[in-house]
Amino acid sequence: MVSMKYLTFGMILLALATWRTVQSDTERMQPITEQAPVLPGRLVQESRERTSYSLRYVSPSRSPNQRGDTVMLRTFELAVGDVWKSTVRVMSDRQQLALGLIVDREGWIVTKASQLIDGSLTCQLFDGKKLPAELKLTNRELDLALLKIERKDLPAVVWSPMDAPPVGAWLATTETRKTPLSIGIVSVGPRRIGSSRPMLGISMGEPGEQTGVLVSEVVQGSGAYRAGIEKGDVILSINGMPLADQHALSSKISGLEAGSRISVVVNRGEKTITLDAQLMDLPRHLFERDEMEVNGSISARSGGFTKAFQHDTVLLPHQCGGPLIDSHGRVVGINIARAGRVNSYALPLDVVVPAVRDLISTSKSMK
Amino acid sequence: MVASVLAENPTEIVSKKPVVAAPKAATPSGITFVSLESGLDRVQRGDEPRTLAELHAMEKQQEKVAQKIQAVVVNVQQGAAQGSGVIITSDGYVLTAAHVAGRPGREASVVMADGTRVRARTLGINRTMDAGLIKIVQQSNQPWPFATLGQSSKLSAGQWVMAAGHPGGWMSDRPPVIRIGRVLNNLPTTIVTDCALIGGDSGGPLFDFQGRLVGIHSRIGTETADNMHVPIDTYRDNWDRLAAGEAWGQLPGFKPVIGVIGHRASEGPAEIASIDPDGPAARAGLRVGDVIISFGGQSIRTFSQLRDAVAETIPMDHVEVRFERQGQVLRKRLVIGMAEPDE
Repeated sequence: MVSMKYLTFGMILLALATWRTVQSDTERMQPITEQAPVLPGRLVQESRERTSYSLRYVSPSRSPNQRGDTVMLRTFELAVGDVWKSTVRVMSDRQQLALGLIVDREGWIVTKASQLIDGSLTCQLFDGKKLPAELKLTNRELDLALLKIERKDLPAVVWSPMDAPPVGAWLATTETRKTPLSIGIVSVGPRRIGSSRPMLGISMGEPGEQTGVLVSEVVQGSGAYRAGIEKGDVILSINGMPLADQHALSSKISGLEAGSRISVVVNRGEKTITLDAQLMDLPRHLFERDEMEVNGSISARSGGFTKAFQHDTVLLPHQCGGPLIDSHGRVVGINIARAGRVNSYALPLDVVVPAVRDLISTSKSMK
Repeated sequence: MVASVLAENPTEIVSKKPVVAAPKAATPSGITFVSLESGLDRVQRGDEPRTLAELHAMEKQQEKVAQKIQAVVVNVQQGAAQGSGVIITSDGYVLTAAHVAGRPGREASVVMADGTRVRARTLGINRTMDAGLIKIVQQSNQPWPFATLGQSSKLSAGQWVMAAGHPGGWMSDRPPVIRIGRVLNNLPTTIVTDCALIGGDSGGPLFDFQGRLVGIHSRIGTETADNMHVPIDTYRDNWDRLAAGEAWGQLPGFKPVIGVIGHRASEGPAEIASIDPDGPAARAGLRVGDVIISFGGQSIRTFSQLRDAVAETIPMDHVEVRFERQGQVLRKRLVIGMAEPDE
């Protein structure tokens, strides 16, 4: 069975077998119960434990004739040259949280802040080495975090001219190997990206006699969903603050930022469970039954940027935070969010470079 | 031309057949055509660039196309639905999807790339193909900028295409959103590409690598590489019926339902005998025993009339229903649902 939708805004339709003819020559799709699969690699399962993005892949299915097929990626290797070497993987244990960019040869790295979780961090470099990384500072506005690793003479990024690439220009997203992870083009030039209200991703109900908030629905792919909150749970408190009713929950959450992590105590049957959830930028329409399914996994913090350009590279949330490279091998931005099926956002250099400079100098002066 | 006639009396559109012939693809009229950069012959045929020189020539080509197509992409607002469209004649014919146009003879708004909003009217729809036509009826001193037309039959797998539209609906601070992809499959009924689309893109244009219009966005699958477009040739083949304001067909698999069952006698009044508790009618507040007397402005006397009226809608349409309950006439708005595949 193939799921298919009309594309009018607000229209969310799930269907049907009739279109199987359309699909007969392409790969047969598997039923998808959680997020939509995204290239490269098919998302098979997302861990529902903790606030993690632990993803299991089957091997990337880059069938010939797709825009990012192996031949295309090989040509992009020529364009990228050695610039990929300034990309790092930011890890917690064996789990990739984000990509990052080496911004200084003395071991300074920037990444996407809201992807980080508590606990020890490591950075895996171009040569496969993993080094402990220390979180130094965060720029909340841009959602950038500054990390430090103890290693010298690193292949740091060389900033090129500040102009954002024109609409239609090629872009490659790299990881810690020569072949780019994914490619795309600039879809919209730099603009301000607004934010939606931060949401936990539940519909609320009255719990009856108890105090607290009944979870009457959990939005697929939302922070609540990823944290393992279930329909029927009764939320008792958030960040240690008891909740009298729905209003208390709403006002508590609206006072926080998308991307922030909260501790949620729920009553499930006889048990009381504590869960960690991340608030997300969730536009209203994503509350629709299967809108999340076609959007795929999106970044918890996917908006609220003073200036970003939009591109059509298919990314996962844990593939943000690293460099975006043009067809001339120049770093032109940092991937800052996966915001939906058709949009990834990148911070342009005129925003990134001064912010990075500030982060490093502030961090150095904090000794 | 016809434009002035139509503009003065927009209601005439559905009854009078405009004398506009289907524009021909051979002449590259329209503002979106871009001649091919040198050294791109192989890429143009659907191959990948293999050298940096080819990659850069290709990039130059797509930057030009991206720039030229912006002006002809529009946002279409019809009732509660919002989608995209593309202008194809200087007098303001706009191609869109059938499910964006809704039904013939309705008022619609067309928003230009620069934010100007103009009045339009829906013309014909071919639901089977999801092809819809609308016409700008507002007077303009200037001819409308329009797209160069291509031929979808000539597309083959691997060829590079560019998509534009207004994903997520119109946003005042965001021009049309440009994406790149390749033709994965070219069927007589549908072009499949890996140009990722989402809600709001419906009705938007798909261009070939020289800026010629080859398709209109229609539907998606869950994978980012499953995006379906109505072949442009459909509009050419159906031009007379579309321009005359005819509505026909049903998009396979998108059968509209409201989730009610009537009494066995199809000649009796449209009384609800049973109702799907999760269906569109129940969600709108209708109950067993309610007698539907009008549906989308059409008066309903029998359950079979109701069935016919529902069949003319498209899933997710918003329709006003009037019904009798205990001697009172009530009015509700419901959202048309879609039949499960086995229904």
